[in-house]
Amino acid sequence: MIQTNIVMILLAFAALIMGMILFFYFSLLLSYMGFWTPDVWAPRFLSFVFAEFFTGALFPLDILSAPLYFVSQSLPFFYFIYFPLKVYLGQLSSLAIIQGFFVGLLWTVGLWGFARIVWTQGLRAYTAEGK
Amino acid sequence: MNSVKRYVRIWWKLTMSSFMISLLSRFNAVVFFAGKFLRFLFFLVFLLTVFTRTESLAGYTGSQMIFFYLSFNLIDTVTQLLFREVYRFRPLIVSGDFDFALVKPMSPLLRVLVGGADPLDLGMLPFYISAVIYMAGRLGYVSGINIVFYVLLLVNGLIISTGFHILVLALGILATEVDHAIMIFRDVINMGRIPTDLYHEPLRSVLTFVLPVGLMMTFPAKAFMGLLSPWMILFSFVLGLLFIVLCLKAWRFALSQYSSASS
Repeated sequence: MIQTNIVMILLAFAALIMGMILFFYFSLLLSYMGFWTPDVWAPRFLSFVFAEFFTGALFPLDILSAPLYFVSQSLPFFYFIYFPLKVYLGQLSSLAIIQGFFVGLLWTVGLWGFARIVWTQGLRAYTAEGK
Repeated sequence: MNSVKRYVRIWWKLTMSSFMISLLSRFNAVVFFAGKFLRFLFFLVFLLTVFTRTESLAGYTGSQMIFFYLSFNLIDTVTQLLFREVYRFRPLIVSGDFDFALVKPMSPLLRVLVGGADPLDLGMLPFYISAVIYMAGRLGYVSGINIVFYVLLLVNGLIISTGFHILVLALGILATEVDHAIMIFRDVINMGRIPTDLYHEPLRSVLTFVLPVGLMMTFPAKAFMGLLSPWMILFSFVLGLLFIVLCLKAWRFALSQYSSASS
């Protein structure tokens, strides 16, 4: 389906940008684990597993059972791919779009703030290692 | 015979060393193991969710789809268990350390192909084998001939997978490129989580005969269910054999082009 409503296209684009920023901070936080442990690959792998399922990249999340769909909505992954796509497809009500942007922005600000705290703490914990 | 014994002993020593390295960080091991289990579980939940809305997909029931998925996991896990060292091949090439594998009195292919088994995949294997046996019993196709064809086609799938990994190694020597090639291989292989019959043409034929994902992942389960003609089974073995011969030729060619890199 090709969306022809310009408002929906702009909203989907804004949701996509929000998803990208969210993914950036999520990925950044995972990288910051390197301040405390050299084992950063395993948590990243685990995050890929969660992301594959909960972003909606594999299948539309609304086919899930109600409790699982609720869980997916509560996670930041929901706003990476699924939310922008639903906006683009015009399958969300105005209220659901406003609600989605509100929760997505809350996640973005939350992850940004958390990333700043972790960065500061990480710099304090950092010790240089010889090769 | 002595040569085989020697290689089994070398492989065993390399495997033990690899297991010790992998289990050095318990945190890493536990998180990876949890990730592998969750990955299996999430896709199973997806399949079960789909079958709450439909009776069958491309003529397959929910139980049959789960059997396909379990067979995929079995082959994929054995492949990753045996060939994990391929993922570490690039640093050997770009640093020139592959020279050390070449000067040793053993096959360099064996060293870089199976020299670093993954214990975390070994941990998942008993679970998958038990699940396959359980689902096979529930499906009700259990007969001597079906089991023999299933096992033989699993082995054929592993042979094709071995070929793919040898191709990645050959590419590593020729183009110092391993990581992306193995990622593409993983993505293509993951299309075999569901039977290739579900894809539309021409993708279905490509996945069956050109990139033989169907032969590797779908055919064993289909043979077990009696859905594969004897000619197709024979064709699978011939193609598997041909594929591995071509991959070995590619490896030999790549080896002849190898020029060491200084560190």
